Amino acid sequence: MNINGFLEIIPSALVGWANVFAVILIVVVMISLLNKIFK
Amino acid sequence: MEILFENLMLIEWKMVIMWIIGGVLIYLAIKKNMEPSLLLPMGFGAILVNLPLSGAVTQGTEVGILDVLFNACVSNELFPLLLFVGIGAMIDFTPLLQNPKLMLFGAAAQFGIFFTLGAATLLGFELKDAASIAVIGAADGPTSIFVANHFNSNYLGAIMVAAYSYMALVPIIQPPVIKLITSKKERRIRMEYTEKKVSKTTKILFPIFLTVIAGLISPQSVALVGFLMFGNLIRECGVLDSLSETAQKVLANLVTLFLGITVAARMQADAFLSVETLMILGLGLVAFVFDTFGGVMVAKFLNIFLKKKINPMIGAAGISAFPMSARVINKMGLEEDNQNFLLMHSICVNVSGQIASVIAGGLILKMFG
Repeated sequence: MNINGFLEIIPSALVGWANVFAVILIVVVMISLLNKIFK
Repeated sequence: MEILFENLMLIEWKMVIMWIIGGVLIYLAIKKNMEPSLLLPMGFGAILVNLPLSGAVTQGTEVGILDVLFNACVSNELFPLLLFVGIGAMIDFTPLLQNPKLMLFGAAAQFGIFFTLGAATLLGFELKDAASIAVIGAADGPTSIFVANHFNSNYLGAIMVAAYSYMALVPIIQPPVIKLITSKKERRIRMEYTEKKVSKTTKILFPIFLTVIAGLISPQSVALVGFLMFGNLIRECGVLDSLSETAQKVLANLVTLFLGITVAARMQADAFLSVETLMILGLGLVAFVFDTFGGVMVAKFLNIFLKKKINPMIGAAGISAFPMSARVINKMGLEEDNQNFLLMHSICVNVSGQIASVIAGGLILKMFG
């Protein structure tokens, strides 16, 4: 069991998941703008 | 007469176990209709490569054809990327473009990837192998292969078996998890659907802009996202119908035909039969369970603030197993309330899961590459 490695990876894993949200948020804004401009 | 039987003396018990595993994969493909396009070639390939002194794989200086195919088409990520062109051409992103806010659940349902990253690290896997195993949670074969190859993971065979098996088992894995973390009242929440018009220009610009955004954020993901979106652009442009049809049918089928049997080159007994393989199969299940958990829990969290509640089950459709997960959620909704049609919402979330899983894969490559 690599408990130290696990504890070290937790912040990176959470940041990684948050980054997915951030990119998706940018994509959502992009789509909303496209829908608004090209009705 | 000896020449007929000398190879029989070289059979080892590990080879026999791999024949059985290959047989099980073939059985699941044919009898249970579980991802037959991949499990059947993988099962047959597992038998091919585990015959004594098999000519299908490299023996000494004699290079086997499966190793030729693997080096030419899998280790350089060619097959998964070509498959993505076909997949992109198959997907209609219109439901997503009509209701982009639901994309958040696609992101939420990638939680299993990052949870499994921690679990795999805890179990002692090296970081790059842990990252490769975690991407089973993307529920997307080409992404799993791409990332595992990029990291030179030794567990490609096990990762593929896990990814494709669990994708086929989504109708069995998701419902118990969803029922455990939602109440009957939540599962009966109705969601209205209003069809919105999406312009052709938007459908054409979407794949281009998405590729640029993803590529600027994570250059390592340009090939993955780019090929998926290229396939979609061919579909949506309206002037390349024959190319779109070729990508959806001929290209996708051709690559699928060879991909499964080629990956079996990494299912030789010595590499496949190990405690690590069992752990990977377990971690793959963990990834899918926590994908479902993440999607549903984010929906429940948002419902705290929303006046018009979301049925939290649609969060589970953010897993990239398209369209199976969407159908599972719709069926569960109808079981609770036979007038509650969640299909269009769950399809939207399911399609967004495809994009989110590729983005998650790209971010994993960037963070740990």
